[in-house]
Amino acid sequence: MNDPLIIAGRAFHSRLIVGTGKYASLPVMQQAHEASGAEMVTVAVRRVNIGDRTQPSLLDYIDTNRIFILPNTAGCYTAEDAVRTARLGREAGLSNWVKLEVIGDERTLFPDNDALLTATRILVKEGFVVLPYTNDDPVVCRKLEEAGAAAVMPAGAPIGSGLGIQNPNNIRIIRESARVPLILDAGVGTASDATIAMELGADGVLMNTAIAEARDPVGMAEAMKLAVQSGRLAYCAGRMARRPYAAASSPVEGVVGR
Amino acid sequence: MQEFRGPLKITLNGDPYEVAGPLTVSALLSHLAIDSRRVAVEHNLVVLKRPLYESTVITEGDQIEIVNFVGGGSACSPRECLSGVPALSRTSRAG
Repeated sequence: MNDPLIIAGRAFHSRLIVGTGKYASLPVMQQAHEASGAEMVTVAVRRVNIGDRTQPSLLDYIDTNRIFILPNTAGCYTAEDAVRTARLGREAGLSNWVKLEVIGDERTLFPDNDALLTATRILVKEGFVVLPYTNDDPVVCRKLEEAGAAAVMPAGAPIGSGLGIQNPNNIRIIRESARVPLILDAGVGTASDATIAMELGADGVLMNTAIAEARDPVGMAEAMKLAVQSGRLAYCAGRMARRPYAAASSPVEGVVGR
Repeated sequence: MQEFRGPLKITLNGDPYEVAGPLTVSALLSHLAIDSRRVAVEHNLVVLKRPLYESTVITEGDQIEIVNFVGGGSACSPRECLSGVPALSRTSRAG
């Protein structure tokens, strides 16, 4: 089935995007990426450790011929820091794409949507392809789209919580009005969460913790690959209507003894 | 460029750092054994384009940030991220 995810004119055959954080080791991360079939992974931008040059390099474990690197602005709490980090990410990397995160609260990691919108406008003007992480607020998603974001990325639940989609109706509403790709980003805990996201009409799913913190990350990565594929197939196939009561599958006439 | 190479006091990744200078950004990266192709450099709060590393001279009091890609997202605290290195300082630029 030729059904690529297209963001800013670039086609991805996998609708699963994964992160690079919290893995037990870089080799495990690499194997999980392989099993997931992801074609895009997110990375953080951090100071080089001047004192300790023995640390292994993340890029040694990502085949950039097959996998597109999406720098994020993780750890940024102001528009200014996010813009600064995005610019550095562009310079360090291979593209002008950025996953924009501007965090508003340390405990919940909810976005600061006001600062996020400000940073989006600045970065769009500077020619970035901006993929903003936000919450499931349809009004904010609309504003981000109007500001020029290349996709909208509402969270299903707090980052790293594994709670699954807490407000499916909001995701559905965002899907109805979004004219850019909708990537469900954050809160996925297990395979069915990813399938539900796709069944709600998400164009893709972004996750990190669900894979990295599974007991068997490589196994979970494969599960997620299949979950996203099956959810997408189900969505495209058009599900049956829900009914409040039973509708028998077999004819009512001709039953022996009736 | 001057012949005299005295110790230059700069701020490197948020910490005071001394290096014999003046020197170019390329020379600093060499001195630190950092592959210039895998990093981004900020010189006095301005992101420096790679072609300018050879010609940009670092002088006394300069603020340099050298960053690279590491595993992680907002779910990672700096302690948990693979590199364990904190994010950029949050001090605002002057003015």
